[in-house]
Amino acid sequence: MIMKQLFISEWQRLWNRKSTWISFMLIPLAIIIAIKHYIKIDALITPNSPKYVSCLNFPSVILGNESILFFDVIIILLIIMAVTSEYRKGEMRMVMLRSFSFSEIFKVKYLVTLSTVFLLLITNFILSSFLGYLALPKQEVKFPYYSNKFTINESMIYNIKYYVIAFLVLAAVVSVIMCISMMCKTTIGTLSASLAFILVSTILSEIISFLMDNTSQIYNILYFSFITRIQYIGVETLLAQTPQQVGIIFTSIAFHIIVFYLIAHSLFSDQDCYC
Amino acid sequence: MSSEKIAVKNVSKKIGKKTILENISFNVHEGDICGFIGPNGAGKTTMIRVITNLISPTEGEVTIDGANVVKERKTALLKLGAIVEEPIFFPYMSGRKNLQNLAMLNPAMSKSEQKEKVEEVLKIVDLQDRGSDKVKTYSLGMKQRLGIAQSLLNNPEVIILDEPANGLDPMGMRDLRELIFKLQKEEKITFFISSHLLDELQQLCNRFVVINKGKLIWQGSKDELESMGKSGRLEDAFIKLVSGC
Repeated sequence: MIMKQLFISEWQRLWNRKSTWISFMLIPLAIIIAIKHYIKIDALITPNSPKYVSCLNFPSVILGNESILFFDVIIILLIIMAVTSEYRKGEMRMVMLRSFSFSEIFKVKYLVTLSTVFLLLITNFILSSFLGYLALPKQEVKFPYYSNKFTINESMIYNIKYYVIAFLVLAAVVSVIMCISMMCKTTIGTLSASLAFILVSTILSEIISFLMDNTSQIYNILYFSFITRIQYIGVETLLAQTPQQVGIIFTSIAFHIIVFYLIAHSLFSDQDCYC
Repeated sequence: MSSEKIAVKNVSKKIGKKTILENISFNVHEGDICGFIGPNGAGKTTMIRVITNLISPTEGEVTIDGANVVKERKTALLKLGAIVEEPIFFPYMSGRKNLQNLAMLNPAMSKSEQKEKVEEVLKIVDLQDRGSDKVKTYSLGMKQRLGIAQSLLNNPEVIILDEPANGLDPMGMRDLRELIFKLQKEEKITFFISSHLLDELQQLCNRFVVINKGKLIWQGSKDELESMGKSGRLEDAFIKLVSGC
């Protein structure tokens, strides 16, 4: 009950900010831009091409190709607003002076960020399904790592599974960025370090795939230890006709969620960091 | 219920190798308006952060109405209202919305009680008419009053104010003084106020705690402190205490 009140209070504050609403409003805009882009591409290729986008694969294609980076950036902004900015400006003191433990405050901030990401992701799914249905061809298409074309029902199930796994990966990103925000403490520091994390993860995983034998198990472990790789390739690998590297990918996601959450929680609960 | 509303026992605080507070002990009794004074950098804000459990003491303990702020944080803070450093609000929300948001954090109140409480405290600090305006449009004096309003949301028995008169004009200071007297008299609230505006504290407080370089150098009644200075002004006594002459 007490945690619920803290959650509602935190949720209200986050959604009272214009930036949160702007992020929300950007979703339909990004979807419309993507639809225009895919209509142009579809005009140049046949429905048999793996690059062909119809309303059936549009929700997962847009999330995998465009929206996931948008969500990473949104997570950074949400955490800067809910944690770093409130800490820097002293606003967080107003809550810390109430009869809640620091641990409860941290858990609620984590949950509110995660819930907001969930809401944005659901919105992205519903709008991309709806607008895609209105604007894109309704042809059956092949999904990545599948030999056959999908029916409407099959594609719906695939897209839902894609969003569920993407949400788990985004939960891992929330844990990492929370941890970065607790270490950096300044808005600029958190923003730079978080963007650097995404960039370096992407570059390092590319270097690994360039340097190593990509059939070895060590390669797979290293490759999917980067959360950005799971975002771009891992989800499709998991949902393939013959799923690959399931254990490695889920272990990596769980590792990121749990370990970075615990580090961030411990840093937040250390009262001497507010000296 | 304890007559010692705030009890500080042998509190030390070290940050890294630096000792900020050293073995400080004092009590604030029920109904007191206790002034907490010391030169800049004496450790006043650190002490207030320890009392409000924003940071933990390295040694010693602090109790509020008998509840240890570290071991029984929730119980101790239930009876406490505070402004630490300066009254900071969420500027993108109105004064009323800020208070409603914070009132929600009071587990003992129902939703309707929270609403009533917000209107009640807005009335006490005379901000009902500006309650719907965004906080970013408030003057410093209004923010201080809103700060006191938020500290009243949980029906506290103790209020801690850190430099509440900072930046206030004479009218603002008079209003604040009258508000504190009113709350002490009508709501029986005990105050612990840090400030460097000694004339202001002289008009407000009945007891004083003086620290310098992280150590307690004096505590006692206003009359005792005034009698230490030649002119009866607090400033003379304070300078005498701090300089050791």
